[in-house]
Amino acid sequence: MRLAVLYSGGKDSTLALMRAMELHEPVCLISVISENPHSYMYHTPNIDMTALQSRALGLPLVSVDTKGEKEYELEDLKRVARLAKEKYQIDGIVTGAVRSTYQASRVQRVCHSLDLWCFNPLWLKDQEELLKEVVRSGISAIISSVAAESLDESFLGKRIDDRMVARLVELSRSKGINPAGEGGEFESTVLDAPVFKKRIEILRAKSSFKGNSGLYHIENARLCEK
Amino acid sequence: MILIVSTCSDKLSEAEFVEPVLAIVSGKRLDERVSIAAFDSISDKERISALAQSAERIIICGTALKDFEYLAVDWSWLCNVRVPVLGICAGAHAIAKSCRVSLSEDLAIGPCLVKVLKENPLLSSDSSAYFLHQKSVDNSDEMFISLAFREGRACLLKRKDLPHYLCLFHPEVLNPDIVENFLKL
Repeated sequence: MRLAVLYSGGKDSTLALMRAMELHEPVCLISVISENPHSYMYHTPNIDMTALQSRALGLPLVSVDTKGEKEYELEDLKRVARLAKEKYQIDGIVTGAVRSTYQASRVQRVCHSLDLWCFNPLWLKDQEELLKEVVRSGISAIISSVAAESLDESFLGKRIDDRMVARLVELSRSKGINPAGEGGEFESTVLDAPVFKKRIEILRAKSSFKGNSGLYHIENARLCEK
Repeated sequence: MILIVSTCSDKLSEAEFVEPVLAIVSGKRLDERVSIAAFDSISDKERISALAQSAERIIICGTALKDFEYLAVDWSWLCNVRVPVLGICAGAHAIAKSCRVSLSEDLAIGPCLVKVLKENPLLSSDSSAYFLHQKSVDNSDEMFISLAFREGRACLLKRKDLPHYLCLFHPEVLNPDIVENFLKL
């Protein structure tokens, strides 16, 4: 099957892409660039990095901009999925949805309306296992935003490796955060993965932190040979 | 042995529809062995019949909204299975097919309230449940007992003569207790 991957540039959509590649042919990435940092549907920190990530992967990116208004987000997704269908003759869409029935049911509706298959290979996976699987799979990701009381500024920009996994798992047990960030506790940005043909090097980034939330904004980055 | 049957004609869907059910069953740490029948097994009637004969419970999982290949499968082997069977969505359609009951068009995507109509061992009270189907079971001949409803349509049913349960929503998403209760039957 020719598939498009709903790609945020984070660890889950990268893992979903890798799972899809084992059985099918992902032919493009699709992204919805939301202006709303509190979007219900889409990942927003460093979403503009998806253009560089698509080059690193060697897969074209189809993207649309959205104001991020709750119910219009669905129309935006439909618009980008239709574009991918027309341009790359996709048969279906893959998502990195894990637990949110809000997101999953909306993507299912869009796929149904366009007669596309919908695959959610990470659906209902154990959150701790999922985080470990990201590291085991060779995905190199950093924490690009935090929004939880127990996650302070020191997490921003840090690589998600075995040590970070242990830290997040410990916080999930002591403070009740979701270790994979599924509750919006943190977002991630992938810089390299086994399926990346080139890796991403950050040249300039800026951290900002206020209250209980912070952002690691990548201002400049480039592709490097692996 | 607990037999978990996949209706997914595409392997990628198994992660979404079979593995979560397997995780619930495995999480109960039962003494019973768990065996999984992939889609190519259910296309081979003799093979799946033999597997079913050694099962003490059978769970038939759902599949992707666009996947209807399971409807071309001969499910008649299910008709005389006497052990408890739980059919989830496509699995419920399979039980209906085994009884020669037809399906009706009914698109349902997302969470919806399920109202319990009749006391049953799987679902004790009204609950939100996750739906993902294009077809319902036509129970106009009352082949099944309707146990619970969504918007006036039966979504949890049981064969009158056998412990075969038809669940038209996905309990693995919001109602894992349904699978756990089934395992206690």
